[in-house]
Amino acid sequence: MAPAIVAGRVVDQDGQPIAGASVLFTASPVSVPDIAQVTASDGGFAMAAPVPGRYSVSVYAAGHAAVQREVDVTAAEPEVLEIVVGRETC
Amino acid sequence: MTDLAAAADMHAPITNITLEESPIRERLLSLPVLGQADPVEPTADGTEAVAGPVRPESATLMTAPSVVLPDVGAASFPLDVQLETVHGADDRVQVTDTHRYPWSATSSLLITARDGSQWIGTGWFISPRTLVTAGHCVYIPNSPVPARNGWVMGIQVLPGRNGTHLPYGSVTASQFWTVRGWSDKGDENYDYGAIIVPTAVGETVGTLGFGIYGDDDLTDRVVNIAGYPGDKPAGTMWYDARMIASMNSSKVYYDIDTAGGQSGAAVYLIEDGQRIGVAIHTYGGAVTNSGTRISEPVFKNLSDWKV
Repeated sequence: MAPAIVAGRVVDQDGQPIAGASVLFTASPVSVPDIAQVTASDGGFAMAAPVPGRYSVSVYAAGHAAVQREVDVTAAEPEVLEIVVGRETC
Repeated sequence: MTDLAAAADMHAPITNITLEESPIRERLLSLPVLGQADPVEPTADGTEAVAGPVRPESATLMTAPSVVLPDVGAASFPLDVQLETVHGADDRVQVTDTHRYPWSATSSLLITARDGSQWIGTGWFISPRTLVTAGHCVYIPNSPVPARNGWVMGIQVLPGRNGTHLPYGSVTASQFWTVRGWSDKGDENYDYGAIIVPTAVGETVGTLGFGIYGDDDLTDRVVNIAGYPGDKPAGTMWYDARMIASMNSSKVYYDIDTAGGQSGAAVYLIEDGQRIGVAIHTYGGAVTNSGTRISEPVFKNLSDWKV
């Protein structure tokens, strides 16, 4: 089975793209390469999900609180996320 | 073709470098070189002298599966469980004196794939111009993003990086090595590669050794990993150590805490004060993380790739 794509955009609370954030799987139905994507200037990312199942996608951006989103990958269709990161409060 | 011959062929190296001569070296241990960085003495228990928790005992883990990976973002062995690369409490400790050896021999990697997407990883010097890393840091096979497939366009190598501080500057590499088992099959058992940098940075930052160790030598041995995880402040180095949990002929398993971005880091033991890589960290899983074991063919390729 071909891997699916978990793609999306990381934005701030005003909807502005966050470039340079780290996006990585922190839980997945199978073992995954221990690599992280860096968001592009439009906040975009696209990572391969090797098999269907539930993945945790975590985003770490300087000056913002870490965010984790759960996504159920069901087929070789792109799962598109918009991940909003809030300002760090502490 | 016998199974053994087929397995050996999967370690057939490929590169985008124009070759004039391919040196052959037969060694079982490649010794580290301190370089010019101020060294840090290791502890007597085989770990690094970094303040923080170290849990040298290890859980009993599963035996290694044999799998084929469809993509850089896709490892695959069929465990139907939630996986975490940090197991229980996060034992990683930040390294702040990254300008000192052995930390200086480890580099933050900023990888630009063929489609322009950027990724973070880790590599380690084994010679003046050669760093070892994961195969998936230098070559992307079978991606669902077709424009991403193939050799990465370039890797910015930042030795001993500590956040925004670059004690040894940075250098950009565009020459890489991996093996057919990774490039053609995406098989995690062959997930290793090398980066050739244009200048002899390793002479300054030092190199880690690497070697072939038998199962008896690795059983109950404490191994160390330092790298650049994406779940921590950008470009900061984090370290953890634990006993090896299990192994097979091509993989080593451990529950040292890691996160995305640490792919390519050295899994090393400390022997007679020398840091010797025994595996290359590559994958995160629920109970165990894993790396490509430095077996005989891996050792030979790494030795041949030293410049």
